Amino acid sequence: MPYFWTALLLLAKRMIKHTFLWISILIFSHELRAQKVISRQGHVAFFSYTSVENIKAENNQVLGIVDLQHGDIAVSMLMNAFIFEKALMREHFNESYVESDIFPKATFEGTIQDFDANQQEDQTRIVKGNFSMHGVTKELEIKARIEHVNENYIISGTFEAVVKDYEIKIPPLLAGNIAKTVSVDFRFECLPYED
Amino acid sequence: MPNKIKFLVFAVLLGVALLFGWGIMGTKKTNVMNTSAEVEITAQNLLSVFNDGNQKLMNGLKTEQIVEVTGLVKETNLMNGRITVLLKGNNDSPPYIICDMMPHQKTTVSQFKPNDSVKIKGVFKGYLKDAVFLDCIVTFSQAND
Repeated sequence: MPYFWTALLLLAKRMIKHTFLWISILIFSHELRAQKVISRQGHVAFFSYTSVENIKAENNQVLGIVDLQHGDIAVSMLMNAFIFEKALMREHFNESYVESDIFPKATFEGTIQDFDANQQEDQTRIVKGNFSMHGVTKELEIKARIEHVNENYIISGTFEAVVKDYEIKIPPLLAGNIAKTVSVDFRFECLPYED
Repeated sequence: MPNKIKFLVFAVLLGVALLFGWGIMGTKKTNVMNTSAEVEITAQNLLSVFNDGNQKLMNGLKTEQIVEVTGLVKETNLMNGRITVLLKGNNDSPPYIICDMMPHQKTTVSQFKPNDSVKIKGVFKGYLKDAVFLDCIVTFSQAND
């Protein structure tokens, strides 16, 4: 009979140990999965306002990945995927200004300063990083709003980009049609990363 | 009318005609509806270019080409106010094919359910983590219940 109780005790101990192990593995794997979030259909739009004409273009397939643990953010977009009101604007943009056949992508790599992934309330944070477009890389500091909804994060904001900084040459004849500084809006609805 | 004026009028008319012609040519948008696809490919093969670096397919596929993709619907959404269909390969996991649909496709797309078989024609824009297509239209669809 004592053997029975000892065996039962050993079995109970082993079960507790295994249960604890499995719970730990489950929590750990969940955290690993939840460490990154991704937006496959991020939105980036730019606006150029001049007295001659207003130009607006948007890209709705921008890729954004955020590492929740370190606040690192990486963004990549196809320059030829911008949609314009007029086809001629798109043609000028791709062929003459950003030369999208030579420089097909624009990227941003940076870090969200003081980012707290666990904070449920909205956060306004500075994102510091390098923005590369048309073969030119510039350091940027962008103010971004971060909303945390369940497991998702919505990152949005606006910044100004100086056209000349990216060595985009505008012919003198069209100089009046394009603003020297364009306003850029972005919005990324990031979901848990799946590979 | 003196010859000099005649020449001037002719030059002006020619200039206007050239500018008008250039304007029409310049504003001409790729017409996916009335243009046949340059490449027809399955979603699985298209994604293999990205997943396995399928060089043969990669060489035959260029950005701005009109491509018709046959695949299964992963999901449809209206994110950013755009009608979007995500196509998947053989399994449910990424990468996907992101198809930005033309506005008049809304009714057709609204009837799609996950795993429906479809053929979508659009302008291939390139790869990020997924393949991106713009100006897409549905050329075939079949519900798979």
